[in-house]
Amino acid sequence: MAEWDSGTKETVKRIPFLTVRCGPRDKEDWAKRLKEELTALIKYIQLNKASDSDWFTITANKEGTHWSGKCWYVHELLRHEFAFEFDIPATYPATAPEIRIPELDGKTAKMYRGGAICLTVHFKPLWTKNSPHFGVAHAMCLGLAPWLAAEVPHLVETGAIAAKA
Amino acid sequence: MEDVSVEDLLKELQSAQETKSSARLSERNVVELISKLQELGFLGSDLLHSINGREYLTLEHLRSEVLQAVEQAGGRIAVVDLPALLGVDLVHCERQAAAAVSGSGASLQAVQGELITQGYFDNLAAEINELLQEAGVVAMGELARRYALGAELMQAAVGPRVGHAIRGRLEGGLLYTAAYLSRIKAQLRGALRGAAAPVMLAPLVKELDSGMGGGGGGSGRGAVATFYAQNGFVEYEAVRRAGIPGARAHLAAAFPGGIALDSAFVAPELAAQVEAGVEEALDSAGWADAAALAPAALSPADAAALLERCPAVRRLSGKGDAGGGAVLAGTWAVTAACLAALQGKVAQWLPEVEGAGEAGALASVLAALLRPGALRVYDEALAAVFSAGADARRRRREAAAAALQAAWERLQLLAAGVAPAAAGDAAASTALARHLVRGEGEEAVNALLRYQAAMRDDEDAPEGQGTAGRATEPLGPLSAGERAAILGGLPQDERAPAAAAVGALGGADAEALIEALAEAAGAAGLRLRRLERRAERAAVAARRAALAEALEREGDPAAALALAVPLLVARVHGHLAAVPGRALGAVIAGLAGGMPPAAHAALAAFHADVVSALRAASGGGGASHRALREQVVLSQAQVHALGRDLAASSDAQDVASKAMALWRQAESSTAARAVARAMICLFFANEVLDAYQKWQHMNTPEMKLRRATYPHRTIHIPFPYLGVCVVLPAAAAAAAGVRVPAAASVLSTEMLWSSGASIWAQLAGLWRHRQRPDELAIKRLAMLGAVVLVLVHSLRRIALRDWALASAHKPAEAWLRDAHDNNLLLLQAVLAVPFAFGYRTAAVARLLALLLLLEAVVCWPAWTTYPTWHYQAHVRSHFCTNLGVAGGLVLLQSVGAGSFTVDRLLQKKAT
Repeated sequence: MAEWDSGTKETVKRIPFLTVRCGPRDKEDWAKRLKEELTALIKYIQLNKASDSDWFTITANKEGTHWSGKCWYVHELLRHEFAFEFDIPATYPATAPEIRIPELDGKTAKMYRGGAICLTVHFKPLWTKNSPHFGVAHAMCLGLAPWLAAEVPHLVETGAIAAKA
Repeated sequence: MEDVSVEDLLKELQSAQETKSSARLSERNVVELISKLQELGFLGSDLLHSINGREYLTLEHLRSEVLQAVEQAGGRIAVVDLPALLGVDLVHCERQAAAAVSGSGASLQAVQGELITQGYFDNLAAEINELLQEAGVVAMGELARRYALGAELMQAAVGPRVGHAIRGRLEGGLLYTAAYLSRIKAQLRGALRGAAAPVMLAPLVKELDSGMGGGGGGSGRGAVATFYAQNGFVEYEAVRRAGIPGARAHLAAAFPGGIALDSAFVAPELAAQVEAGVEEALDSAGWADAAALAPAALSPADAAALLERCPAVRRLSGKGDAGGGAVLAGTWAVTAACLAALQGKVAQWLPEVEGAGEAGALASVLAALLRPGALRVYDEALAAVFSAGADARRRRREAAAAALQAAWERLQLLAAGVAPAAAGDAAASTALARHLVRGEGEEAVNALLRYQAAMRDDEDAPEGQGTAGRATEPLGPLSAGERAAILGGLPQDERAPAAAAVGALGGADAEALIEALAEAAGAAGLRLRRLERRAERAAVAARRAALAEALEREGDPAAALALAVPLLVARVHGHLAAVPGRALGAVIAGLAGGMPPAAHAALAAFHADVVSALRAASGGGGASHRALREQVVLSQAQVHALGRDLAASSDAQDVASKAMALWRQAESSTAARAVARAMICLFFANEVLDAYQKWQHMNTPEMKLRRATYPHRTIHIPFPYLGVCVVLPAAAAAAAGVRVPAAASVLSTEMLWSSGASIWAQLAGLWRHRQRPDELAIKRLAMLGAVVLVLVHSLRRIALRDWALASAHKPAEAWLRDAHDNNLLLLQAVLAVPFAFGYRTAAVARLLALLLLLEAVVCWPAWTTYPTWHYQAHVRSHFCTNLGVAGGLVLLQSVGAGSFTVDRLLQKKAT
């Protein structure tokens, strides 16, 4: 975990691990998995609130296959907020979800076509190693948060985005 | 967990998000607070933050800080320096600077991006005053340059202050002091007085003289004396220049015994010297020029006077014992003998001159003038005659040696081909060797004997005139008698080996002849170079090209066969062979292993045709000759012709068969090989381009910024020197067909080097983290990689993508369609299996090449634009890799798959 700073590592350790190995195609087990996902997310958000580092909101559809929300990052005293979304892949939890930020599509090189963020090289091996114990909350913590921390300052510096307010 | 429903949990998630964060007033909270307050209008809109983001400040504060900064900087500061000093963005600094200027009345000015106060100008005036008092005069332009101010501004700043702050006057852009003015006046007065007042010449001369010489006339005398002693003469003019009046008298007094001439005073030694020269000339019945013997500084009249003084000359005119003579043109002393000789010559050339002038004097003078030129021409002609003879001899010897070396190399080349071509047939082997010895062997022996003869001639006739004519004689074959004659003329130690070589001509052992030849040449002092492998290969290639060209032009079937069989031997066995008609059958049988069976059958049939045609002493075999030619030589011209034929055809079936023939010809033609090579080289060129683009990208301002900000996240990419300096030239050379083996070795080394690392990384990733390997790297390894690739790429993914594409509601953008999972890969994977085992390699390779090209064109349109440069590079990489592998397959078509193939096994079983 050379890529993540110590704060992130500490936080990840405190998010509860998931146990059910099941994708969205199996109705019964998926319900169990979804509950675990939600519990982990609630825990993660509570942790964030407690340490006053809340940085996203998230909601899922009823089936728990499509997730969306808002994430924000404060850079140079300005709050930059983006809407994000992702789908649970069919091969979940073996495959990590691909988080998309459509409004940044085409503005940065660290992004695949369609707005999926380009995660660090360490993310996928780590996810594979920890499958099925990692879930949505981990994806947010290890994927989206470091991406924002790295890309938002750069995007602001290059003038690709500006704070809305 | 079981008792809580998903809905409940979702609600809980919602509520968890809605709870207020514990208010730890971190920096970010404060930021949000401030922005909220600004939104609500409590703070007003004139709130700025500093560059480091740690401070808020108001506009008024900034303005006062700007004024303070100006004061601290001594009344003058550049606006661009303000952000660094104040920690506030330049835009705000500029705005507040402008506000400060407009609010300050006239005490603060903004001049060319600088803020300047009146106080600064006061200080400036004081400084200028100091400068002025020191120098007396200062130009305004220089001041402006010195203080980096505009000339007009300087004028405006200095003008009002002249008189009180600056003690001086300003006139025409020049500041000066009263003291300076008075100094100039004094100088002017002095100059004018000097120009107008009279002056006595004598004191002036005295003054100048003492200033220059110091010692007066004494040193001038010394100089004259030294010059005279050294050179044996001194000119009166020089004496006068040295300041000695009455030069003649002075010299006569100073150097008794000297001779006073018209323009110079000469020592007796010099006169003696002239006399010695003249006497020597006269003794040898020649002539002498006094002007040349005397120093060049003496005038011709003086030289003549010197000559007259010589006792020998006096004797000449006095018709003494020297036999008489004359002094011509003043300075020429000519003896009577010389005169008479020249007179004779001139009279011979120009009879009408005889008797002209006094006692033939005109003729003598002419002759004296002409003689040196004539002598020179004679010398040159003599030298040319000598060297020409030597040149011709050397050229003849070298030609003989070169012919021997060439014949010897040919002999070795062909001797190497005897055993493979005969293919174990003893009778054929003997026939081939005898043919070789009779043909090339005899030629080599003749060349050796000629060389030896040439050497002997040189020794016999070193003067060279006699043998020069023989260099041009034709080099035909020597008869046995001639050989014996040359052998007889050789020295003892050369004769025995040469005789052995001649004797070996009668046998049928090429190797023995080669040995005997080498020994004989060694005895004759000539070292023959053994043929190296590389040289042999080059020679074989050259000979093959020559044979192919000759075959192209050959119309006679028998002659074509005689050309085609050695060509095929060279192609199949890699050696040249001289094939006599008698051994043709055996050699053709020996070719069976290395040719396609159909082609071999055609060749055998053609041979039979030719034999029967020769037996029947009538024409024939034209059809199979044509077939053979198609098999043996596939030229570009033929492909063009077939193409034209195809275009002219209208029947569908006809078109199909012709197209197939065209395709067959095209793919094994040299042009197709060149195209395939170019395709492969394109891959390497693209590799280098990739590396260069990466480097370029890492050096863009954006990436530099990133690197500076996050050093641990970015890597250093050095400039691809190796690629640009080595790989690119090698690729170009390989594409152009220059030194292909060397260039290809460089390229494959690079391939192992660069691709090895990436393939290894991919395999390690697969092994350790179950990461999908990158298809590009796998394809680089080999086409076999496609199998592994598709095993790893699940078939389901491809199917899913196809379905998604088909069911997409809106037409996807071109670059959104990711081609990594294209269906052509499936077909490639299926074909890769037989290809890997070498089953029906020809057909499979063709299909694979076609599929690869199709994939390149359809799935990887490298020519369209993509939003990021690296995706563009990636697509181009795919395109070039596909093209490169396809090129390799096309090359494989013409080179062949080798012996470890199922095809070859089947073929072996069949035979």
